[in-house]
Amino acid sequence: MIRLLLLIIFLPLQLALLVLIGISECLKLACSPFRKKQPDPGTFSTDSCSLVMLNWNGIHLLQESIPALLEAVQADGADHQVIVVDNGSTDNSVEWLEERYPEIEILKLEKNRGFGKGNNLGVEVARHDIVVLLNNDMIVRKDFLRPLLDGFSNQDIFAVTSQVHFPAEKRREETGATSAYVSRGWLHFTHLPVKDHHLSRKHLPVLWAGGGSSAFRKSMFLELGGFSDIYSPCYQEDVDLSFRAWKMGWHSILAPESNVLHKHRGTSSRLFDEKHLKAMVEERKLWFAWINFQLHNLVPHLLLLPFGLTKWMPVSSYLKSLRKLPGIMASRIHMPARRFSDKEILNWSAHPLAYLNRFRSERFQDSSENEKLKILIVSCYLPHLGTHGGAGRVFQLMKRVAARHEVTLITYLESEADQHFLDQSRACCHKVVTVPRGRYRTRSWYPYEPFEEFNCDVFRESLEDLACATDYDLVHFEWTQMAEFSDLFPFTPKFITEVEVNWAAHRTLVKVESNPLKKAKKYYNTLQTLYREAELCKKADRIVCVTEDDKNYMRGYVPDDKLLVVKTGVDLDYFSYSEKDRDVNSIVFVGAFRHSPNLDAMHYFHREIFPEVIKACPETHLYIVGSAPPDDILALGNQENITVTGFVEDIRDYYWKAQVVIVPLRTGVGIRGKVLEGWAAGSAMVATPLACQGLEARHNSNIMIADNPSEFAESTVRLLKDPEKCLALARRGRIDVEELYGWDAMGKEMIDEYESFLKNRRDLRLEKNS
Amino acid sequence: MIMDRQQQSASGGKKNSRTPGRELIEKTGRKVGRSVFVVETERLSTMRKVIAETAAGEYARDSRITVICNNRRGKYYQSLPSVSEVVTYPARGIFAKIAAAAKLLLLTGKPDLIVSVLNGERHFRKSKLLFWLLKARRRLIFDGHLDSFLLDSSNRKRLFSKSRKNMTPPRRIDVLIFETDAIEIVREVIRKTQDSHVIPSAQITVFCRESSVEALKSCPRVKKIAAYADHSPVSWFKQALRTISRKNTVIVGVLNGRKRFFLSKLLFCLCRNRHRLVFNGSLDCCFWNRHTYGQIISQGLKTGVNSPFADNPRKVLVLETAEPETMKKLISRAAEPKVNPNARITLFCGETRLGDFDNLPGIEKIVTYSDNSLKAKLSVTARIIFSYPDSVAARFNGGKDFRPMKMLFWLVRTPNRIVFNETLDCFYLNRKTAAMFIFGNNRNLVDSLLVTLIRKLVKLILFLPRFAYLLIWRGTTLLHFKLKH
Repeated sequence: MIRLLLLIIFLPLQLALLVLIGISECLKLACSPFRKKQPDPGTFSTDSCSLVMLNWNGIHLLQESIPALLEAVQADGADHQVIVVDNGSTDNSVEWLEERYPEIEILKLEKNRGFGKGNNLGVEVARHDIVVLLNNDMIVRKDFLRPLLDGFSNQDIFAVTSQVHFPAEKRREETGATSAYVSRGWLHFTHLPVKDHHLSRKHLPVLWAGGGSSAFRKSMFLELGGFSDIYSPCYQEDVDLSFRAWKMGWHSILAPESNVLHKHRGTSSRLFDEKHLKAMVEERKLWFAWINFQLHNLVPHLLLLPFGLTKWMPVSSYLKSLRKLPGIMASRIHMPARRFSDKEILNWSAHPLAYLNRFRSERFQDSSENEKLKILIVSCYLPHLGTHGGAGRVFQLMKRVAARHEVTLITYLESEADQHFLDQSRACCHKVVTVPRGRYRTRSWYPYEPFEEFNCDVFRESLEDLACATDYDLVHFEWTQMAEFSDLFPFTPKFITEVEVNWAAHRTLVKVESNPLKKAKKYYNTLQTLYREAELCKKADRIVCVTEDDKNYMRGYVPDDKLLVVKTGVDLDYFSYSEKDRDVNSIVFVGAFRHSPNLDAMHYFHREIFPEVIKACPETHLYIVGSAPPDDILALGNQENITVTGFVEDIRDYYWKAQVVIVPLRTGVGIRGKVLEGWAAGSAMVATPLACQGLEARHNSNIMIADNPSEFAESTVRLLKDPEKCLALARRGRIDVEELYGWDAMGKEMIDEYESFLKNRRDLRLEKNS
Repeated sequence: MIMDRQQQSASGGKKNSRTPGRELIEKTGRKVGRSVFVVETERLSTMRKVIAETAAGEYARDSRITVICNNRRGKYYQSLPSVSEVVTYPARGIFAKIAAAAKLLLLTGKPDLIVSVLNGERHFRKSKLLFWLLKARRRLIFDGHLDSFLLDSSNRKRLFSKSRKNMTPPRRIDVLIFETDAIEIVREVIRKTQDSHVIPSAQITVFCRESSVEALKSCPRVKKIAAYADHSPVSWFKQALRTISRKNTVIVGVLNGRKRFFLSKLLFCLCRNRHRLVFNGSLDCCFWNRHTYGQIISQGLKTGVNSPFADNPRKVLVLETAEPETMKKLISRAAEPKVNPNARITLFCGETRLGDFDNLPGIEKIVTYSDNSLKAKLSVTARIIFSYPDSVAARFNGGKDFRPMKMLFWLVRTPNRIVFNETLDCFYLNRKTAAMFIFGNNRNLVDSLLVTLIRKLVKLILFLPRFAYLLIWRGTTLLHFKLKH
C-alpha cells in the first residue's frame, strides 16, 4: 500500500524527469548532423600490453597483488609495461614500491582523483595498444594474461574480461560473466555462473568488462572518453563505459581461462560503510539507466521506479540522486549514434546463443559425407520402451540413428518414475539432458493454446546451453510442440516429427461430440490447433509424418516438398509370436491413459460394447492395461469381470494371454502402436476403422474391423467363441507385420532422410558459391 | 444531532444553535479572553489535572475552555468550574463518531489554543488524531508526567521522546472469577490470572459457593467474595444477579468439558462482558475473541487434552492440493517446527489416494472422502469445515487442479491459513502477505491471481473475433493451395 502511495506521490516528479530526458533526446537529434562520424580505431597488436594498477593507501593489498602480477608478466615473457597510478596515498605505498620494485612505472597524483579519473590518467600514459586495468585487491593467476590478449581476435572487440574468483571463505558474488535485467522498472546487474559453453567457446559476450580485471583497446577507450566523471568516486563507471562501447558496435567478452582472485571491496569498504555503499550502487544504477537507455525503455522504468523505492533504495537517496540530472542530460546530448538497441545488448549478455547467431553464423561448417553427424533430438516425452507408443517410436528410431551418428537427446521428464527408463536412452546416446516438466508461463491472450504447456523457460535455458556449447548439424523436434524452440536454431536444419497430427485428432473429438455448444468450442480448438501447428511446421525444413493420411492432413498448410513419411514399426524380437496358453475368456485393452483417446476408447467400450459381450459370453473377463489410469477407470476395476492393472513391467504377458485384443478408438490420429504390437505378439484383434488408419489392416484377414458398437460386440463375441478364427487372424497379422513394419527398415529410412537432406543442402550451397 | 453540546453557562445555560467556534468568542458574562479546546485523550483523573493546569497556566489564563469528550463523561466535565463548554461525541458507533468529528472539523473555528495529552499510550487514538486535525493557532501538549510544552519547531522531537510516556502505575482492573471447578483449580486460576503476562494489576472478585469461601479468602488480591449457598439455585440466582450487575472489566472461568458448575459456566458464557478469559483443563488460558472461539468450543471443552493454547500440540489440517509426491514433501514441510511447532497433522484426501499416504510419518490422522456418495462427501466436508484446526495448509500454484480442495481451504474455520507455493515455500496468510498471494510470485513462473483473472476475461472477449479470424484464415489458406495446384 505504501509503495502504491509512493507511486502516486512521485508520479509528477517522474513525468517531469521523463520530459527533461525527452528534451535532451530532442537536443541530441538536433545536434546529430554536426556530430563527427564514428572513427576507425585503427590496427592494434596483442603481443604486449600495459598493465595499470590503481592504488590508494593500499600498501597491504599491493604487498600481495604486485608480486603475483609481476610473476604473471614474467611468465608471459613479452615486453609488457606495468604502471601503478597512486591516487595520493599517505601510507608510503609509493616509497615501498620504489624501493622494492624499481621496474614499475609510478604515476603519482597529488590527491585522490577517484577510480575513474585515476584509471583514465593511467591509460593515457600507457604505451601499448592494449591496456589491462587492475584493482589493487585483485590477485592475478600466473597464466591470466595471454587468454586476455588472445580475446582481441577481431577489430570489433573493445574489452576482454577475466573470470573472477573470491576467497574460499566468501560467497562468490562475481564471476565476470556480467549481465543485467530490468524487473518492474528497476535495473539489476548480475554475474551469471560460468558454464561449460563459456569454456568451450572461450569468448562469449558480457555486458561489461570489470574495471579492475579487464583488458581494453586503448584507442577505443580514449575515443569513448574513458570512465565517466559522473560516477565519481567509484562504482558503475565500467558498466557505463562497456555499454557505451556496445552501443557503438564494440564488443566486450569474457575470457574464462584468465583467472583472478578478488578481495572484494578492499579499498571502498575502508571509506564507506555497507549501507552507504549499497545506496551508492543503487543511485549509480539509476544514473546509468538515465544516461544510456533509449527513451522508450525509460518510460516504464521511470513510471514504475517509485514502486520499488522503499525496497531497493530509500526515498531520501533517490531524491539525492537527482542532483546529477544536469550532467546526465549533458551526457545524453553528447552521446554518439547507436548501432545496437538496449534490448539487443542486454539480451546478448544473458543469452550468448543469440550473440553467436548474430555475429558467429559462420561457425556452422558443412560436414563431409562420411563424417558422423551431430544430431540433437528434442523430445517432449522421454524416449523409452514399455509405457507409451509415441515414446517407443522415438526411442526405436533414435537408437538406430545413434548407432551411425552422434546423437544428443534433450527431453522433458514427466515424473520421477521416468528416471527408471532413462538408462535406455543413456545407453545409445552421446549425451542425455533431462528437464523435469514444470510450470510454464501463459503468454497468449487467445482462448486455447494447445502447445504452450511445453514452452517452459527451464527447458529453453537447457537447450540454449546445449546449442551454445555445440554446433549441431541437425535438430530433430519430436512432437510438433517442441518446435516452439526452433527459433534457437536459425542456421541449423530442423526436422519435426508429427507423431500425431494434433488438429486432425481434435477434429475427431468434434465428430463424437453431440452437444452443439461443446461442438462449437471443440471446432474452435481444432482451428486454433491447426493454426499453431501450421505456424510451427513452417519453421521446419522437413515434417516427418507417420502415415500417408497424416501427410494429407498437413497438405495445403505446409509446402509439399517438406512433407515425408516414416512409418512406425514394431520390435519383432521383443514382441515375439506365441500361440500357447491363451485365456479363452480374456479381452485385453492396452493404452497409456495420459493419452485422452485411450480414455475415451475405454469408456466407449465399457458403456456401449461390453454389456453386449457379457450378455453373449458371461464368463468374459476384461483386462485394462496401461499406465496412469484415472479414478474413473480405476473404479471400473470394482466390477467382478474387469481388472484394471495400471502400469505393468512387461506388457507382452497380456498380449500373449489375451484371446481378443480390443482397440475401440474413436478419437485421435496416427499409427496405433498397440495394433502393431498385437500383430507381432500373435493376438487376434477387433478395432475401429480409425484405429487401423495408416496400417495395412484388412477386415477378416489380419484384423476384425467394426464401425459401430453392435458390430464391435458381435466381432468380439465371435472371436471369443471361435479360437480357430483367432489363430488365423494372428498368423496373418504376424506375416504382414514382419513384411512391412520392422524397425530396422524405418531406422534406415530416417537416416537416409537426414543424410540426403544435408547432402542436398551442401550441394545447393556449393552451387551457389560456384 | 450527533454532536451534543452541553453548555455550562453563567448566563442561564441557554442553548445556542451557533457553531462552537462562534460561541467561543461570544460573551458569556465571564471575562473571556482566548478560546481553548481541550481534547480528552486520557482518563478522567488525568484530564482533570490537565484542565486545572491549563486554566492556571500562562497560556490559557482567563480563557474560555471547551472540552471535547465522549458523551458518557460530558456531565463530569461540565461540573468542572474552569470548563465553559463541553462538546461531546457519541460513545458507540464508528460512523456516528466519524460524522461527529467531520462536523466538528467543518464547523468549528480556529481556537487560540488546543490542548491534549500525548504520552505514547495507544488508547484514545481517534481523539488524538482529532487533536492533530483540528486547526489551532497553538498546540499545548502534556506528556506522561504532565509536563507541558507549546509545540513549535524547536521542540518537535519531544513528541517522540521516550521520556514522554506515562510512568504512573497501571490502573487496577476489576476481575470476576467464577468458581467453575475444584477449589484447588480455582486457586490456581486466581494465581495465574495475576501473572505478569495475563492481568498483573487484577483486583479480584470470586463468585463461589459458601463452602469455598474459607479456602479462597487466603488468596492474595482477592478483594471480594460473592458467595451463594451450596445446593441452592435460588441463592445462586440472587447472587449472580447482584454480581454481574457490578461492572467487572474481565470475567474469568474454566471450561474443561466437565459438567460440574454447569450454571456458573453458562453464566460465564452468557455474561455480556467485553473481556472474557478462558482457562482450559490444562490451565492454559486465552482471551475469548473471534480468533479463538472456535478452538475454545471444539477443543477447550475437553478435559485437559487437546488444549488450543500455546504449549500444546498444534492441530494442522493439510488439504490434498497436489500430486502424492508433492504432498509428501508438503506434509513434511508443514510439520517443521518453524512452520508449526509440535504439529499434529490431519490429512484430508480422496479415498483412492489413501494408499499413497498410509503409514507416512508425521501424519496423525487421515480423513478421506469418497466420490461414490455425494451425501458422505458433503458430510465429511462439513465435519472438516467445523473441525476448528489450529491451522490449515494447502498448495496454491496457480494451477487449475484440486479446485474443490482449494475452495475448502477458505471455508475451514481456523485462525491460521498456510499457503504453500510451487516450490513449497510457505507463508501464513494475513493482511501483510495477502499481496503475495494475489500478485503471485515470478520465481515460480506462475501467473498471479490478478493476471489470471484478467487473462480469462480477455480470452472470453477474444473468443468470437479469433474464431472468425481462424475461419477466414483456413478458408484463404485452402483456397490459395487449391489455386496453386
